[in-house]
Amino acid sequence: MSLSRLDGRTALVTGSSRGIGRATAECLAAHGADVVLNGLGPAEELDGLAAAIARRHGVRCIAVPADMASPEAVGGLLKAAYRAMGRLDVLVCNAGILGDGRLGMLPAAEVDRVLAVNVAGTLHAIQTGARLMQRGGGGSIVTLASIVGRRGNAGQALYAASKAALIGLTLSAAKELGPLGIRVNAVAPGFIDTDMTAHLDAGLRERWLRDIALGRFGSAEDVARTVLFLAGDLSAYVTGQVLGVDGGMAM
Amino acid sequence: MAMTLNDLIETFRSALSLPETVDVPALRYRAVPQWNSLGHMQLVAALESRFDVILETDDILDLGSFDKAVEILAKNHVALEA
Repeated sequence: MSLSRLDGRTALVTGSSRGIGRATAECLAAHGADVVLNGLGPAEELDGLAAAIARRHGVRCIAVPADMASPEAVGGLLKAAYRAMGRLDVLVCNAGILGDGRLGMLPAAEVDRVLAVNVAGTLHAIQTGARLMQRGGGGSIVTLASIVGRRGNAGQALYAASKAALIGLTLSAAKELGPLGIRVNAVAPGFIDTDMTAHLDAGLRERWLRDIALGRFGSAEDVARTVLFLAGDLSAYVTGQVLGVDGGMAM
Repeated sequence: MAMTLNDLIETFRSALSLPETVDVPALRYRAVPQWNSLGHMQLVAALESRFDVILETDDILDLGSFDKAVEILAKNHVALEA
C-alpha cells in the first residue's frame, strides 16, 4: 500500500466545517482515513458535510460540534470521537480564529477568546488526544500555525502571538510525546485564499502577491496536502518541525 | 466482564513496573521512584486502556493514591469487586 494512504486510521480535524480544515478532512478521507469533523456552526450542516465526505470517499465520517474555547467541550469532543471510532491516529488542530487589531485597540475579551481557541483549545486537545493515541501505539499530531507566528505582522499582534505559542507547544509536545510514538509537527501557512482572507481589499491582496515567490496565493488544498504528508507514514521520521506552506512568501 | 481490585493492582504493577514486594493498595504518588510524573502518565494511559475510560484532567491531577484510583474509576462507572 502507498505510504500516503491512511486506510484503517482515524483522524480528527478540529475546525473542519470550512476552509483549510474542511479541505484537510476531505484530503485525509480521500486517502482512506475515517474522519471526525468538528465545528461550531449548525449541527445539520456539519452532519451533511460528514455524510457527503463519507459517500464520496467510502470512509466513515462523523461530525462532533464543540467550542474549542471550552476545556470541557474539547474533552467531550475527543471522548465522543474515540468512542464513535474506537481509535485515534491523527489529530489535526486546525480550529482557530483571527483577532486582527493594532496594539492599543485589542479588547481584553477578544484577547482571551483568541488565546482560548487558538492556544488553550489546542493544548487541551493534544493533552487528551495523545493519551488516546497511546492506546493504538502512537500517532501524528499536526497543528496549524502561521507565517505570522514566525515573522510577525503589523496589526496582527494577537493572532501572531497565538500562533507563535502554538509553535512552542508543538516543539515541546514533540519532545514529550516522541518516546510514546507520537509525532508532533506544525504547518505554517502563508497567504491562503479562504473565508478568513476574502475580506481583504484588492490593493492589499496585490501587495501581498508581490511578496510571494511562486506568484500566487495558496489554496486550502495546498495546506491540506502538507497535512496529509505529516499525518501519514511518508513523514515517519519527522517530528518537531514547522513546515512553511507559503509559496516562498517574504514578510 | 466484572473488574476486580486485583485487576487494578495488576494495572498499577505493570504500568509502573513495580516488583512483587511493593504493597500496591498502600501506594501513593512519588512513594516509589517509578511513580514520578512520567510514570504517572503511563499509569493513566494503562488505566484508561484497561478499564475503557477517558479521565478528566482534574482526575488525572487528583490521582495520588491507589484508593483515589478506585474512587475515580467508580466515578467513571467502573465498580471494582473485591
